[in-house]
Amino acid sequence: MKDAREPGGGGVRLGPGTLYGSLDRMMRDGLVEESGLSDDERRRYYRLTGLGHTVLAAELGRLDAAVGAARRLGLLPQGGR
Amino acid sequence: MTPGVPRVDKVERLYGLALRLYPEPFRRTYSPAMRQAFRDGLADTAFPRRQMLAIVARDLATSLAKEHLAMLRDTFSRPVLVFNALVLAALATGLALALYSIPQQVLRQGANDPQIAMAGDAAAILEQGIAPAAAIGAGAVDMARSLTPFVIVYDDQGRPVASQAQLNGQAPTPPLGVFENVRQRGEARISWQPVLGREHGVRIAAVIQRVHGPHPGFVLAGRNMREVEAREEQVRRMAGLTWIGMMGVILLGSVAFGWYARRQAA
Repeated sequence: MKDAREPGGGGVRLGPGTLYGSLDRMMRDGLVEESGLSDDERRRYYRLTGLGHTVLAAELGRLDAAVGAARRLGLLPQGGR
Repeated sequence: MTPGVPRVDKVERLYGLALRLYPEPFRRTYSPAMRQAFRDGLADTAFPRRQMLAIVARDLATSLAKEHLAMLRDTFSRPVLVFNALVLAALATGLALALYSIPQQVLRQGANDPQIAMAGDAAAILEQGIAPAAAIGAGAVDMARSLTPFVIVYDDQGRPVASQAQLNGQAPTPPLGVFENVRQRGEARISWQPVLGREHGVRIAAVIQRVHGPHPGFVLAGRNMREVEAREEQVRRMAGLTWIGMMGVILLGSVAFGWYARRQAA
């Protein structure tokens, strides 16, 4: 929750319900899977699947293109790289 | 024991109770991990507790609604359940339409009964060469108000020559196409809405028969449909209420079945 609130974590206010609800849906869509590394049901670890990597790359590419377009149009706020 | 510990326990216990509000499959899968994430947040001294609790409270409200909606969508978007509900709804709709249309037709056809006999009798008398006014007798039925059946005689061109009824002081004439139809078929049974002056709302159950003999023409026997239409409206309301009731039962049954099937599968 704390990491998600940091700028590097997306700056979102993410509680446990939203987090595990999102993970549940991403697992159903085949984007992530349980790593199986945990031996404690209270701590679960997940990893991206091949499809998850592909979708993530596509999404990052889309965001990158949007940022590039914003930069070309001079729309980035001061300090933006 | 530090002074803060009992408070942490209490908050965690409350969160544990709140987790029971999630749908059962979701709760069973993620409740321990969610509880641990909450515990980790409480234990993180770098994360202000008030901020953390505010995030969790908002998260509870939104994710509870989201997970319950997702459960409902999963439960009730199953093809078998939707198909069964649609088939039952179609059957209920067909049944309700039958519940309306069959009595409506019986009532409407029944509204012609005295007119059929009256038109036939008048036509038989007129075909003997008796003058129209003498054949049907005098009458002053107000077509707009009275429910009394009446007879109007028309000549071969469709002009009224004798009438037991008036509308706004005149004997109204059906459209000429009706007479052409009767000329070919011998009889017509119609719902007639005569238009004379300002009067547009009167509907007449009319039976028109061809008159042969020395003075050919037509005889119309009619009756105001007000009472029959009031009964038809009652039938329509009862059929509508029946349809709504059946739809309600189908909806409740589908919800109950979906719920039960989900619990069985869980």
